[in-house]
Amino acid sequence: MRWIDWAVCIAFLLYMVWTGLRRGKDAKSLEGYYAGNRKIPWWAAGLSVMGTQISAVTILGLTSQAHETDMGFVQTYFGLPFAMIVLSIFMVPMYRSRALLTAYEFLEGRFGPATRALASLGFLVFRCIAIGIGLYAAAVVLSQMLGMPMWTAVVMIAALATLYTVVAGVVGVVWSDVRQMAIIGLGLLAVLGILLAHLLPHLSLRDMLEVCGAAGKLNPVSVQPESVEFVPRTLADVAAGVGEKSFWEQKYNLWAGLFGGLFLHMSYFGCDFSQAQRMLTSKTVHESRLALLLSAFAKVPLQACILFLGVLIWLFYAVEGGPMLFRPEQIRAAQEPQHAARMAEMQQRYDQATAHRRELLLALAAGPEDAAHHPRLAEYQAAVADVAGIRKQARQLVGDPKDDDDTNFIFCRFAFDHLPPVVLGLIIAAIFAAAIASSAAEMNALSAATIVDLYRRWIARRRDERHYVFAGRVATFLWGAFAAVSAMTLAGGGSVIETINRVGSLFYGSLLGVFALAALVRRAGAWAGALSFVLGLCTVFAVHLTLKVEFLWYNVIGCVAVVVYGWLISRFEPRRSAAA
Amino acid sequence: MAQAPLVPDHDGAKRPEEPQPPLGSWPKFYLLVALVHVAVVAALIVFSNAYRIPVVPR
Repeated sequence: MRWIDWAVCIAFLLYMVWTGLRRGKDAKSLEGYYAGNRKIPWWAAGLSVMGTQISAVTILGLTSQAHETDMGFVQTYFGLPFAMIVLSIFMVPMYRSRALLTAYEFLEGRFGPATRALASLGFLVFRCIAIGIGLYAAAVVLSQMLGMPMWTAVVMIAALATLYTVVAGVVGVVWSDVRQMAIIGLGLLAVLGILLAHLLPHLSLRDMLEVCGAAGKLNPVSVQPESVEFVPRTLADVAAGVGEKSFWEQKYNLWAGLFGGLFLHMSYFGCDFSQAQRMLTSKTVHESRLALLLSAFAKVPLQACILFLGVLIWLFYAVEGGPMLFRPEQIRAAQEPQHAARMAEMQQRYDQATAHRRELLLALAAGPEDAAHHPRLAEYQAAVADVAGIRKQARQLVGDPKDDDDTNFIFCRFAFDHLPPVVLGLIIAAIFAAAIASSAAEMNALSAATIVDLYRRWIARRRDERHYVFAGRVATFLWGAFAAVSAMTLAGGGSVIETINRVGSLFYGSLLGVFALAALVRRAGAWAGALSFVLGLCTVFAVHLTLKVEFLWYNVIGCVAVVVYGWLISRFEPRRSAAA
Repeated sequence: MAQAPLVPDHDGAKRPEEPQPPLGSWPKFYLLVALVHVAVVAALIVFSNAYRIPVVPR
């Protein structure tokens, strides 16, 4: 990276950290440290909701996912605006009626201390897995692309995030999220402009869409499910190759996005405290609602744009020619003597295949007819598949057999090879900022759950406010250290954003179910709350271990199971008193 | 000015209960959010159908 890019990147990160640090004076009580004294304007809280969700893996993973497959991932967000409306109607007044410091405090008022402790512990367990995965994913890409040791990138991200979160708490998190969103918007717009400037001399906008569509790169929505068989297959059947693929096995389609996505996002934004915390920080109920609804308006178009950027990067490489390998360690391995002969032959095939694909792509674009009716369409589609096939073979030859996926490296490779000075610095700063801001939000939420739900509730009940704020800062620091250590010990590949959603879906649905039980079954008491939550988690894990069902549906299963179990158990409980 | 009622916190502390604002124009606003989203999804479906070109066997 050039010195000017380093300067831009470092200057922005220092500005972002300073923005967080200078808000430290507001964090003199737990109310200030974890709820920002409930003075944060709605637009800042709303941008923070979006900023916390957009981690480094969103930028790296989504663009690369569209490059490798298509834009279908956008369907995951189709349920989000409806989820935000439901949360605005039901959850915001529920949380704001008692001026809570964590979401799980509400459960104690409704179901007693056991349910609160279980929900809070569940959140701590899931979030501490996710914080490690997110930090690892960002650090592994940045360290390889910048040529620095993995631990340096991990420590850099974790240290900066911990620094301002320890000092300023949630206020620092929110205002640094606002800066993060600004630089992400600016950086992605710059990349879009650069891609279009490269492509427009070769292809019109319509031609671009047609050749990408012919290569199967668009397809943002699948209305028709691949199967209407509603009985799920068992994993044993799948392994034996028996039975017909069921409706529940298709990862991305309109229906999974609308219904599974609705439950996933209700759980994530309403019950995962790294997000639900924003509902507690705004000045009024109105402002909390507006903060949520900002995402309802902006999220789907934003994610569609990020995915479309990935498609344009694919088109850029198809027109200008691109590398066969994207991951630096695989490129180095390809130069080793034992692979040299085989890789040279593969590179030659790859160059021929990409040249052939380019020729056909331009022919399709130049033809008077639509790409769908062009006589060379089948040849073009075969050439697209050939290029992808050769890339896969090359990765398998030189990559680690357990982790040869290069999905998360494609966007960075493009940025390093083709972005001009300053813009590259902006993009690297945006990726670092996203990693730092997401980690900071998670650390603050983990610290809040640790101190408010566990330490203050069970261990040190009658201490003064200064003691709890100090304990909160210590907990934030320890969670930052934990995140760094777990990121350095993790290993894994694939699309990390999907991994996080998959792990989260095992837990989120049941958590949402407990809040739904509180709202829907008035009779449900302490036993119903705690037992149904545990049984709901067991049900989701049982489905995960035995049936072939895609992860978005786990949220629906968990939520419905908890409400049903809770309702059944409540039939055997003594009737709750009105005061409870 | 009337003092907001106090509700017991589960940790024993007292915090003021926030008044619940009237619904006002929120239902219309929710409807607007939902309609805008339906329009975005419909636009994406139209876009998807316009550029969905199935793989042709050679």
